[in-house]
Amino acid sequence: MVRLEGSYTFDAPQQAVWEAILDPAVLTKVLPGAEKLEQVAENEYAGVIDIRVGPVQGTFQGRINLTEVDPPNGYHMEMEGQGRPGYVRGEGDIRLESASDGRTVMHYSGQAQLSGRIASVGQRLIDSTARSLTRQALENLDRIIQARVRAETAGEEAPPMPEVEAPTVTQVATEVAKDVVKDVVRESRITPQTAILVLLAVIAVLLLWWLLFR
Amino acid sequence: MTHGNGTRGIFGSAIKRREDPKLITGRAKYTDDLQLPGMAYAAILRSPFAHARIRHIDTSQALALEGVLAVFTAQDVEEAGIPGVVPVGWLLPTLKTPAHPILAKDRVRYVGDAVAVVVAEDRYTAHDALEAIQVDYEPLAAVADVRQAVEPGAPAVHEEAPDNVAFTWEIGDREGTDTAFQQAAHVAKLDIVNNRLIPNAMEPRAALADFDPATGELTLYMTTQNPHIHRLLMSLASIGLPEHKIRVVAPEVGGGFGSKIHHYVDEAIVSFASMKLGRPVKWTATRTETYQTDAHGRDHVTTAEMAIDGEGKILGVRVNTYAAMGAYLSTFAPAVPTYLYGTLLSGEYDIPHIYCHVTGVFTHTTPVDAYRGAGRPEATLVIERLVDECAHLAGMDPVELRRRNFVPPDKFPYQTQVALVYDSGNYEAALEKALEKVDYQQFRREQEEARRQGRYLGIGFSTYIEACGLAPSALVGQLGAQAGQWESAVVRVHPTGKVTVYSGSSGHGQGHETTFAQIVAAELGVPYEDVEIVEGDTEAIPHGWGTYGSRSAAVGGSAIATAARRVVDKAKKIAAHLLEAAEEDIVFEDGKFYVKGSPDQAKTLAEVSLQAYLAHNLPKGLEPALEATAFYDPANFVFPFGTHVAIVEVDPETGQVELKRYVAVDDVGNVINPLIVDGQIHGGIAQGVGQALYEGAVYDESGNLVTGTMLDYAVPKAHFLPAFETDRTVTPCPHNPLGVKGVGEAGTIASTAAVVNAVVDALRPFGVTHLNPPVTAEKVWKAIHGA
Repeated sequence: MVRLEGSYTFDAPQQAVWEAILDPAVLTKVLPGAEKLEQVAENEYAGVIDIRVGPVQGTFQGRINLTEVDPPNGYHMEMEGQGRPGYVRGEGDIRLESASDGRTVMHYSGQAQLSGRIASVGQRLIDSTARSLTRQALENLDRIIQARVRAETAGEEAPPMPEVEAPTVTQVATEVAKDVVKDVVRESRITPQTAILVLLAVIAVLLLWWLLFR
Repeated sequence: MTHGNGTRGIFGSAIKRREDPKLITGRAKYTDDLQLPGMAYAAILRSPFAHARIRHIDTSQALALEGVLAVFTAQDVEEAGIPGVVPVGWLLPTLKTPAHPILAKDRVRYVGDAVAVVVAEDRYTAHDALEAIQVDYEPLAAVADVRQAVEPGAPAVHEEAPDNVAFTWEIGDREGTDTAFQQAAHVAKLDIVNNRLIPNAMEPRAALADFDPATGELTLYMTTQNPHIHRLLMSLASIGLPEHKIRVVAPEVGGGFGSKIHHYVDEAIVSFASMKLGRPVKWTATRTETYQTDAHGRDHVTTAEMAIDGEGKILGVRVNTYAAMGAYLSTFAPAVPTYLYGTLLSGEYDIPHIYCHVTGVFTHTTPVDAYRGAGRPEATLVIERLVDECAHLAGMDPVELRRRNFVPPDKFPYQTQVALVYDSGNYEAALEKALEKVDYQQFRREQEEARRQGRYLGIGFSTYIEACGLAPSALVGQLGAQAGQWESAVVRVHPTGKVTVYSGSSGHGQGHETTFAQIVAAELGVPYEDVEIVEGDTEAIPHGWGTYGSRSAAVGGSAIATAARRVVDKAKKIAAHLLEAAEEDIVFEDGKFYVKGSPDQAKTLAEVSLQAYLAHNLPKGLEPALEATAFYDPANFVFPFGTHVAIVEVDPETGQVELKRYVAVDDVGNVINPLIVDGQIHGGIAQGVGQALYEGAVYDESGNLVTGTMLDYAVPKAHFLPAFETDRTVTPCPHNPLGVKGVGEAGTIASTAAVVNAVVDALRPFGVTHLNPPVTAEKVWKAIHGA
């Protein structure tokens, strides 16, 4: 079981954030590894996401259903996905709140049940990986919203998709590796020897990545 | 030690294992090394869910892949009309026996349950095709924890056992024990977990089935500890071919520890596939498959109590255990937490009252069955922890409390309160030897001194006994075994005097080729090099029951010795005839026959054998040839015992446990080869230390095996362990021809308790009274810091 909970503050009005988090085009760009995300019905999305957790890698095909949609304050979502690495079923809640300074706070919480290879092989790295992917998604989202807001302020017609590059697989992996190391360092009292080992391991992983995806 | 008169000192000598050169140079042939013409490869689709309904399986995309020959599911098995289930080989009166189909039908019950099989031209295509099979699962609630599984409302693994209780079983005298507890000066009560372990044989399981449609014969090469048991169960239950149409061969087998005893679905699946396709089909488990599907060991949750009087005499022992069976009953699963566990709860002690109740529990996990020690390590941990706790409560030295309760040497044979009759023993002798080796009094002084410096040393004892050499057939039959447990041997002397031995034992790392040849060389007085040992082929060898339960020396070796002595008896008749003397006047010594008083006129065994085969001049009525067969059924179990001592140091800052010294004094009876005995003890200790400090299978709340790889499951490594100091006492087994007992499991049975006791001893200053294995740094740290 993976559990995620947290909040993130966007330097943008609530309506702008709300629109972004319902826009499949935006979400495809911000979700690390997302290959495709389409709205298939009202409040229903289908997509393909490529995920790597530790040694497990592969493509998930999934569906997300939104319920209790309360514009522009939040929604409840249920998701289900399956693919080469296994099965995921989960649910979560997103709630937006206007802060006094014109910014918007997003509170998110969710949990997911995993089965298959991703659960049996990747379990030790799942929490760190999930947190890392979430952090990256939110930072990407923030950049897109900023760009949209800037465009609007400049009086331009809001471009449907500002020029923000979706991160490459390598970038995502690097970020995940960094976050995993941070977790390892935080959770254990680490000796210099272990730190060097972890560093070497990270370098090895990156090298491998480069070989695979260059 | 030999009763035959061929005396060459080979019995008992520490010669190197003759099998090792081929094993360590990579020349040995394992199942996966075999290549047959036209061979195809199988890969098995495993359930990713601990519990789910199978709504639908679509194999069309997999079948469409180039190189895929076939995909089979439960439906194909059903349509083929074979029995298609793997059976349980040990029955208990209350046992529920839900069917275990070779491919899951409608429902999967653990992560790893077999759902479908792909057969392809090569291994890679077969594995790729697994991902093209579309299974529509409806995930259901699962329960992986043995105690949660018997809570009301827990999801049921089988309809036949809605409360997940596979069986209840008891042994001993309940009322008598309760009464004894009322007289107690002290009662120790502990909640003890015997952690679930994953066997780690170096060679993963594999099976190569070759069905010949022309003859209707199935040849199955596989990783087995007991080819005849596999043949029997394949014929009776899973495949249904007549027994004489099945040949099971065990090529080189790279370790088992129990995990290759059982009849798994996998060998039945490849046999079925080969029968359908008329081609040889090979399957080799991936390491992930071995973790998910090799039967696990232990997984007991126990409440245990021991009552002592004011003088430290044990009055009674009361034990209540919940033992996980996993999702299906594996071959000998019901025997392990019952007759191999409850019967060992007297330990080395004279205990007047014992009562043990066991609940066998289905959980949505990998099946649990015999794993090195099988029931006896669990019992030893329970009893040895209780003894230490009693000593603590009474303010006595744990060694002294043990001494006061040992069955004394003059009390054998000793009838325990839990069915067994210990045939021999001298427990104090082994204890004294161990104490001397560790210099116990000196250690206690060092421990005191170290504590003053803030260092925490601990010493732990395990004065263990075990019952092995399985087993008297009539007795185990009464207890529910669906198998005999005697052993067979054929000793064949060839015309030139060279010898081939066919044994029903089936070694997989124990060194039988060496030790069995030592037995025969000693019995027949022939050079050790002249003896060849053949095992592991149902076509070559009379029925036998294989290698497990530390039975091969005591039962298999006894069969060989018995057959060898029959050969000598016959040879003596021929020698007497050739020497024109009476049989009673013939002396057999050092491989030669001569008339009493005339050793220079001797006939060698080779000379006698040649005459036996030529048959030109045999005594009247004597058949030609020189060979004998024996089927040896032991009169009792054998009872190895000893004292193991562990010394640890615990770092209070990190909770890290360092095993500093390990002393083992074992009594395994007469020793055939000290090098091999030491090797068995060493490996056994390492595995028991693994249970004590490192190993433990973990399932998450959905029933996923979280410790699914060697990255997540800590097998002890060489540098975790000190150099073991081993020694022996020798109390020969009184009831078998060689005076030998078993040694394969002794180290594992003893060592977990010794190490856990040592850690608790180290932590006494912190008020710690018990820790459950694996005693990880985290657990120790929490115990010290009361977290």
